[in-house]
Amino acid sequence: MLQLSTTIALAALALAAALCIVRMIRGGSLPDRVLALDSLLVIIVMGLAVLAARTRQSLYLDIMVVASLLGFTGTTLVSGFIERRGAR
Amino acid sequence: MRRVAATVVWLTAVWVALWEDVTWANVLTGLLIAYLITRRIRVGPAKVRHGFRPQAFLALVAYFIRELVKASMIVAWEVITPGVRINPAVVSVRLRTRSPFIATTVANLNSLTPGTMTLELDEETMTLFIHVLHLESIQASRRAIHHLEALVMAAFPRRGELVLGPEREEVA
Amino acid sequence: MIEALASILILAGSTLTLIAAIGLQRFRDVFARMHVATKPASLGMALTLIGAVIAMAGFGHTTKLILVILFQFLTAPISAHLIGRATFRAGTEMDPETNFDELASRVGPRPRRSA
Repeated sequence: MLQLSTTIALAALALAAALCIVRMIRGGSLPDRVLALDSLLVIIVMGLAVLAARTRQSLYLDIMVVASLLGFTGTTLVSGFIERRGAR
Repeated sequence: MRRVAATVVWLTAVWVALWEDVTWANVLTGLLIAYLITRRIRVGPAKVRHGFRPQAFLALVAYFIRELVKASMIVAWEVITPGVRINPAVVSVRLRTRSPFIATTVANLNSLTPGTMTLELDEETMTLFIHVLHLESIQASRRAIHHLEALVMAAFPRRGELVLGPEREEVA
Repeated sequence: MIEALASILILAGSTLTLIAAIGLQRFRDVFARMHVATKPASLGMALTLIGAVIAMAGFGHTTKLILVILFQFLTAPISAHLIGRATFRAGTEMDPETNFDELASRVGPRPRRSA
């Protein structure tokens, strides 16, 4: 049962990631793209957790820790950049 | 001095937890790295002493989680159902606290509560500007923020500051 | 039994995140998109990670997951706040239907309104 649910979950996450990438490419302004990037990193962290639950390996957890840290740091830095440089 | 020691202990705990193996090597390395970090980065000077009430803090956490679930459901409903029913607005809320820590905490927590999102915090006048998605009334939004602020003030009390104060009405 | 609980949580979290991504496309205003991208995504992530912790319960290595959950709970509100503040300060165009109350229009920075 876990196999089936994780497969569905991974498919949903992949679709969500595709939508985020579309928004990142189209996006009206820089904050749109930052939002999409933040959501994308959240999706990556979730995907890694689902994979770890599916295969019961702890290998993915290390990557997940780094990804979540980098996601937060990146979002913070780009937000500071937007404040200083404007949204274009 | 106490703050530095507490930070070192906390950082070492996180380090050992990340390695998931409590051995002497891990603990000693963790202590060393924590010490080096606290040397390089200033552990913020606590200009304002804030108390900490665990009960009130737990009440705040429970409120926060409940509001987050409500917020997600509302937004998810809005996305799924066709038609656009949003009524956006920017509302200003005058906070009752004078401490930057509490104001910042309210501003942060407010980003995940239903219907509102923090835009700007004016530190001199302690005014919080929020963006509301469905505006029912300005007073309702302000009341929600004041409720959150009261919970935060109860969790981190400060001597000399009222926990429950009279609500100052905005005179437009 | 444990698998069922974990599966439900993981599925619920992923569905919420998918809804958040759909919302990113549907809404036309940057600030509305912010509401949509931060709130369901945070809750979805929390649900999925908790489901993963339950699924991996007997197999060890759940400490890292719990650390990530705590970290996300601490930082998700902060990053949402920062994005909102940066967008507001940069003067991004806002939905023309947005109302401003009197104090906000007088004191706060007034973003350009899209035509």
